[in-house]
Amino acid sequence: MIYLSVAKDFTKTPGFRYETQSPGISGELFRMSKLLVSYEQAVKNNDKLEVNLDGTAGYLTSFLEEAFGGLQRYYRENGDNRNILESITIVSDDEPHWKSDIERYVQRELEKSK
Amino acid sequence: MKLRLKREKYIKHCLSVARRSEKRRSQVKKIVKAQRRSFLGMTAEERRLSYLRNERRIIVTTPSVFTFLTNPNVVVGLIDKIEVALLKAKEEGKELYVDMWHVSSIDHATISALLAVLYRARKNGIPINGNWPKEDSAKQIFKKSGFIYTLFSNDPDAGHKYEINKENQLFTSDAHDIALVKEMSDGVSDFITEGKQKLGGLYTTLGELMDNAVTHSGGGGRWWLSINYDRTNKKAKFVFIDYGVGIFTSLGEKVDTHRVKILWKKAITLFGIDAMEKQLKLIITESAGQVYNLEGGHGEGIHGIYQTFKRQELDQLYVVSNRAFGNVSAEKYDRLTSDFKGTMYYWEVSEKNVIISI
Repeated sequence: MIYLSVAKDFTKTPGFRYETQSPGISGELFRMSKLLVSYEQAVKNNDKLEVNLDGTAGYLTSFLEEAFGGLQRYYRENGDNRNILESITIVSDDEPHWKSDIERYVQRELEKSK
Repeated sequence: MKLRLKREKYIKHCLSVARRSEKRRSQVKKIVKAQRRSFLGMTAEERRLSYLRNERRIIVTTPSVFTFLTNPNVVVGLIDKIEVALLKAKEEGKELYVDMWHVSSIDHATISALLAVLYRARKNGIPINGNWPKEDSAKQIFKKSGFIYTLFSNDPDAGHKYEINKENQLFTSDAHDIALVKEMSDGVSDFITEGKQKLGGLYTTLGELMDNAVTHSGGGGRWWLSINYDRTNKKAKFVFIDYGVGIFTSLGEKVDTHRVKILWKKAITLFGIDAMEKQLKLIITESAGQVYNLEGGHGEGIHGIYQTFKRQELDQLYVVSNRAFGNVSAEKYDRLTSDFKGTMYYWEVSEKNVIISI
């Protein structure tokens, strides 16, 4: 299992969707610099990625949508219809609702690829 | 001889000053007398208004119940009137005078909306003036809100500096500022819980609103936040306003792809162009992204705030935009008679909304 913690490995104050809106702490940067790398590593090793959302000040829907929905979009736009959540486990004990929200964002992108 | 001449000159000067002064006094007396005569048969209110009226001034009189949350049609209607008066004032080079004398009740949502409109006008160089409400309770709310300081102060920090734990605050910015969101959530958490508790729902709400205002509002991205602490009930009350174009106008402008255009038309056919209250309910409860099938994962913000409310991390949620008024807590959505060219959110956070310990 590969572990990725937003608070420990990225920031305790997650920002907005795009890098231009909150440089260094955006959903876009998290996806490109952390999530994509860890996810591809997990897939390559036939392993699973556990993303822990706890320990931050909170989240914006746009941050999480850009990170997870955005990752699903990235594959969809490249003609790959995989479901990223098959290899990702979300841990969110502080605010458990984010787990179902992320599933919804990914599902929305999956439906577009049908 | 020389001294005598000087004295005579001095006496002559004094007499001239006295004559001029007497002339002025008699002129003022005449004016006052004429004014009193013209006031004969007038009511006290007519007399008060005739004092306010002059050629260089456009007067807008506010209603007595000036509360956005309970009287939205009246407040939005008045804001509309102010907008028209501001245009006229700009064209004719006049001053806008907001007559608040009869206001008996006012809320922070109204004060923030008024500020958003007048701030923009003042920045455009239109002179603004006004009076205090006669009723002391309304006057005190208005005075303590920080409205006057934010609107008229020459201090560049006025309205741009957030101070933790200050009882009444009016804050404005046009930027995405997550550090400020964190600072505000921490400040409210300190006020409500003393021992520090995480307010994730408030972080989400403030962030989403800031993002919507800067990215989508169309009003130059400026947003207004009013935070008021009710120390007796340990409650923080929030008003967030962006004064741009409003949710529906903004969504309409975004409908640029063929697919979304069809969906937008479908929604209009389904609800009618004026049935914004039904669309507002849909956007809040089901997300704009889903309803209008927006690209790029957009349109989750308002629904995100609703979910926060559903999880009881916020209380008393109200949303007003364009012609729609939503009392989300009461599940009551109404149509407004005038168009509010922006979006207003009101909510409260108290001890019962704190759900996570750090």
